[in-house]
Amino acid sequence: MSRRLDARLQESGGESNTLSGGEAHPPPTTRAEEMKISELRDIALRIRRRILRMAAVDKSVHAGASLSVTDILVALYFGIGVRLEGPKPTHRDWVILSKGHAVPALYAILTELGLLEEAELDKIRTIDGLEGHPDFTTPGVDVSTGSLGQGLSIGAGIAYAMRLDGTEGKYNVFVILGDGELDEGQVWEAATTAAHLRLRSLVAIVDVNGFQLDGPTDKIKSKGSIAARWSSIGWHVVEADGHSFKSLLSALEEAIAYPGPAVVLAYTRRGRGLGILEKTGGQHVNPEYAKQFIE
Amino acid sequence: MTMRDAVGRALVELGEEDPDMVVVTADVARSTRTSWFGEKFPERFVNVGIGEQDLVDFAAGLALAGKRPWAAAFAMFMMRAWEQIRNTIDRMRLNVKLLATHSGFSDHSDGSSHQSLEDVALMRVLHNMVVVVPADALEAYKAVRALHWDVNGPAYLRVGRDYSPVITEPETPFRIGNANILRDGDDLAIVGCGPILYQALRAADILEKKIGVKPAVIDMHTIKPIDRHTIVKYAQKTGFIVTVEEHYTRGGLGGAVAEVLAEEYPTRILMIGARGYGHSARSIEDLYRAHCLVAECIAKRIEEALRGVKN
Repeated sequence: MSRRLDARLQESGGESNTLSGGEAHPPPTTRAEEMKISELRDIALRIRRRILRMAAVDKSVHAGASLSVTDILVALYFGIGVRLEGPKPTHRDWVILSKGHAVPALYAILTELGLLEEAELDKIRTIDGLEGHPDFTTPGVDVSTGSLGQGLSIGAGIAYAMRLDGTEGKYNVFVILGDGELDEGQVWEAATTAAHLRLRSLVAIVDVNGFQLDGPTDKIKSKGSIAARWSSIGWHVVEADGHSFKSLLSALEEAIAYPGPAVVLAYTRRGRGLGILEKTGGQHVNPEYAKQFIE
Repeated sequence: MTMRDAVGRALVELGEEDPDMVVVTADVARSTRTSWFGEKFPERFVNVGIGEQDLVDFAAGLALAGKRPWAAAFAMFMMRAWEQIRNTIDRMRLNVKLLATHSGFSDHSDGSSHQSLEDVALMRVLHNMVVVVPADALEAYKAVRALHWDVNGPAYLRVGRDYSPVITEPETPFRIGNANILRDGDDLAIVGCGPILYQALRAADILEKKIGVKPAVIDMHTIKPIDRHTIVKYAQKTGFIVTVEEHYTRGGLGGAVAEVLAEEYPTRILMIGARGYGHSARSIEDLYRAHCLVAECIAKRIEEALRGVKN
């Protein structure tokens, strides 16, 4: 049983070509890039195992959203590389997980980076353990979130401070949002501010997994053309297959290089890698079921 | 000089002194006088347009990145971003100064949609927030400087639009958390905040002339952390506390003083504040009259209460 499910997980790190938006055209892959992608797949598998480890101790863990954002975070932290340290707050990169409910994925990344102990993961959502949403007192977590819609404004403020300190374009502020989160009006207040100010350090990444708390996004509230919404106010839009490292890396590189605010629309599947969730788009997994995936 | 003028001037001075200071506003640059800072330091001034939630969190980002931002909006519309203030600024204890202008009834002509009678309650409930309500333009100027240099965390500065008869002296000391005694007395103590203190001082004069009592008048410019010592001292000295504010007494200064007294020295208290929503008016005094906040009406209410207390 365990081996078969492992294989299912392994598969999820692969190139899926399930682009649900516009076509992305990543450049041809070299042998070195192939090796890198294979490493990223291994990391992603470990991240997914850790997410399920957390889901196995607490049924309230948002496994679906964590699994959909996993490859995005792996591409960002281990493909692009996030400079977490700097002499000043404006001399480093920032990551804001605005869709804060996906924090298990971030904890799993921080464990991979050696900033968190594996054993800490078992204490998620306990009184003396990790918070259920990002909290800036956790090493490696830049900004406390959890209330949707606020991350992009915060990111714009940080990006503006980089301009004042002369590091604009040298460092980046990555803000990761959900597609459901786009319902929040504040996202568009922030998006128009960032476009008006031409904040080039700001990179938004939308994990377009097609679900929000109450169900599929098109049933709860249609989002229209997400790409058109961003581009009409002056953002550079790059679309990507959110489960293909080749596609994600190329999209992130393009967004970082763009001399203004850019957004990566990463099309993903909620619960990616865990068949039972991926089929239903569900958020929570039975802890007993999740236990099978722990090594 | 009006309160907002005093604040605008203080911000420009601070801008000269502190290269890490940034001012952000939400399409009210001229009304809040933050435009003066913007003219002097255009690169350190951001207008986010009509979006108070964005305003508050943009300032939060600046603070996270090591800047010392001030975010300015009308008090009423700053409250639209209460959740952002709570969840981002206060929870992370960020060094963001919220400048809330046109508070209380001071935007008399625009009417009740623009008049804020709840903001002190909403801000003082927040765990880390410092809340300051200066009495006049002189105190507003001092408060801006004190908040910028002496408070390394979130703070809310509530000022009015124009109305603010000067009742303090240039030499009057201003320290956050230390109330100022504007007038001493033994028979009762009127504790107030904001420009309405002018009416409280006049009410004290009326009471002394008419019935011979000597009220103390206390300028409680800092609502949080409140000066517990001064409240208890005057409760012990006079046995009767009156609070006066341009805000609802529920959760406002009245509520704050009552909390201290209930815990430390239970004392008879009369709370005077807004009686309901405001209305458009040609002057703020018209609104004060409508809400029994003019000196004559305050004095009358105190006199009635005194009869109950002393008999």
